[in-house]
Amino acid sequence: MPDPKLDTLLARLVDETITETEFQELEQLLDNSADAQRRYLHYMDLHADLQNVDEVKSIKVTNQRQWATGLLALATILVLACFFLWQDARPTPMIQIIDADGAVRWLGDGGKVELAVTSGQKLPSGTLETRTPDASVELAFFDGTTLSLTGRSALMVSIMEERKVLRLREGNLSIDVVKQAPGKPLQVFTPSSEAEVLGTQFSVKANEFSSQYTVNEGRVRVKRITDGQIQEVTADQEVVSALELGTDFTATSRRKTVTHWQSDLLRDRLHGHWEPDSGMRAMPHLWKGTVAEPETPVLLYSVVLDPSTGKRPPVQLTEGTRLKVQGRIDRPHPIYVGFGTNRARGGPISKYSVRNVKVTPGDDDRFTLELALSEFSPNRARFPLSPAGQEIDWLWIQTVNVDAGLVVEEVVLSD
Amino acid sequence: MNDPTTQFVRLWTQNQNEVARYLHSMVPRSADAAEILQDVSVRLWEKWEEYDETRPFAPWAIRFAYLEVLKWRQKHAREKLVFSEGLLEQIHTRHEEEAPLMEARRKALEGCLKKLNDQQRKWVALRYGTYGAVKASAQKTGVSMHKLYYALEKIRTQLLDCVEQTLRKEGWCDA
Repeated sequence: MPDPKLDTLLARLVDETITETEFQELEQLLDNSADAQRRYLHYMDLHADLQNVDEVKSIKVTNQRQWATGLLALATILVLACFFLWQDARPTPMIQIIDADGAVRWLGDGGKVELAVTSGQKLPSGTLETRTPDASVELAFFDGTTLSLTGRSALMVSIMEERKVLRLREGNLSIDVVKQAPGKPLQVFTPSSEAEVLGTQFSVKANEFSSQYTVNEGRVRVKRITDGQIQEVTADQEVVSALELGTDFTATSRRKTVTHWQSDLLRDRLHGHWEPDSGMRAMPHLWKGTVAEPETPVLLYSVVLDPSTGKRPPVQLTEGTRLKVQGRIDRPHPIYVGFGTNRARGGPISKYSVRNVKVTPGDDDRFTLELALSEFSPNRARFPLSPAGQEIDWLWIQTVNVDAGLVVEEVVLSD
Repeated sequence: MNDPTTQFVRLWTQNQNEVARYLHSMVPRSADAAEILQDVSVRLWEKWEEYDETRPFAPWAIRFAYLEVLKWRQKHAREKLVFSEGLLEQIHTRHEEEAPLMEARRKALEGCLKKLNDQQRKWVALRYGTYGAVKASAQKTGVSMHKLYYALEKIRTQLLDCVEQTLRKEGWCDA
């Protein structure tokens, strides 16, 4: 049974008589309510239909519509013409943002700061930062070379003497490099390594002490900074370049994927506060919005884990994968569960999530949550519908804007 | 007909209404939706080389429309009548779920409009037959705006109920 209040607000919306307070009320009714959102879409579609159906049009002027359509077409042509003229007149930026999700910012050379990077934005050289463990950004050079930056990462992007130069201060970078001009390899610098590639698909995980390269296609030449040793890493191989000279610096076959994973919270932690007697407590981080940003801040209380951290094998999802979370929560409260993936053997990232899972703790505040892979939806329409076959990069369990005392004790992926 | 410009214009003309409907659902103010629609057409033309013609045009166009809505939202975030990004994402997802049923709903509406009585049809014509010139039409016919909007609210609810019933009768189980 549709909510009469919702219908009244929708009527005011389409008749453009809605007040600010009513609009806020409407937003509250729509937020996280599938039924209300359906009603909203049906209402808006009905409104559009009534403007177009012949039965209504035939009663009154029809020429106005044709005139309006003609004007719209003319305006579109003018906009197109202006766009091309404007594009010719301005300097060509270096990269374009394909998608930005979460807290992502751009620090341009010369001190310019973009606090809210958006899809489609074209940017010159500078540093991209994904500021929270579940943030991500995809970008492309104009030759088609694409990069994905995830987790807490900082990447300086520039072009020097026609070479693309990437300086990964920390974080996770996945790169798909189209063939570069001979003698002009793409260069990657991390605190512990340097690498050169002419055309390949690979990923780098870096911190201030070590860098792990995993090559999916082609060949990457990695130099360990501390002794200048070089390793050629080919398809399906990986290498770790650490500052410590006693560590192994040999390219080896990529670890085989597994389909079962059980958390070791302290080792897998990307975000959360470790409490030895209980588990990993969800800690706050800003998803979007800063003081200077015209955005309502969204605060998340999250536990974020990396299932394939260190030497652990990558975890591949299958149609039958189930995710089990055990933990504690102070009171019944909806939680969000999600994960980021890359396509098998590298490639672009995707994100999947289940929102508003109602969790009701028992007398001891404990809860167990089990989710089938089919319950997760892609966060973007362009992501594959099912994550089956992809490798999981990181996963999160969180509450939104409310600290409900969420503590994660164990997470298991099994098929 | 294989000329890319011709092909683009043909597909855009065929699908423009679908994209416009989507934009109206994401950005309720019609002037804003019309502004974004123009940006979408530019964006699609810019990306035209990437279009895979073996796949349907409308979902491809709507993906870009969604990005344009988010860009527009960023620019107008301080305005009061703008949905939050989180809600826009939810509506976008819901739109993807609902899209397959929309055509059936539109067909059902044609039958439902015929069930309106004369007075109701007059109200609808007054609001929608003049393409937005509601106030002028209402004044011309001596109808108060308040009365008109109240009547329209009831009529829309009646039409939506009628559409739901029709779809159920036709066997659309989740209508």
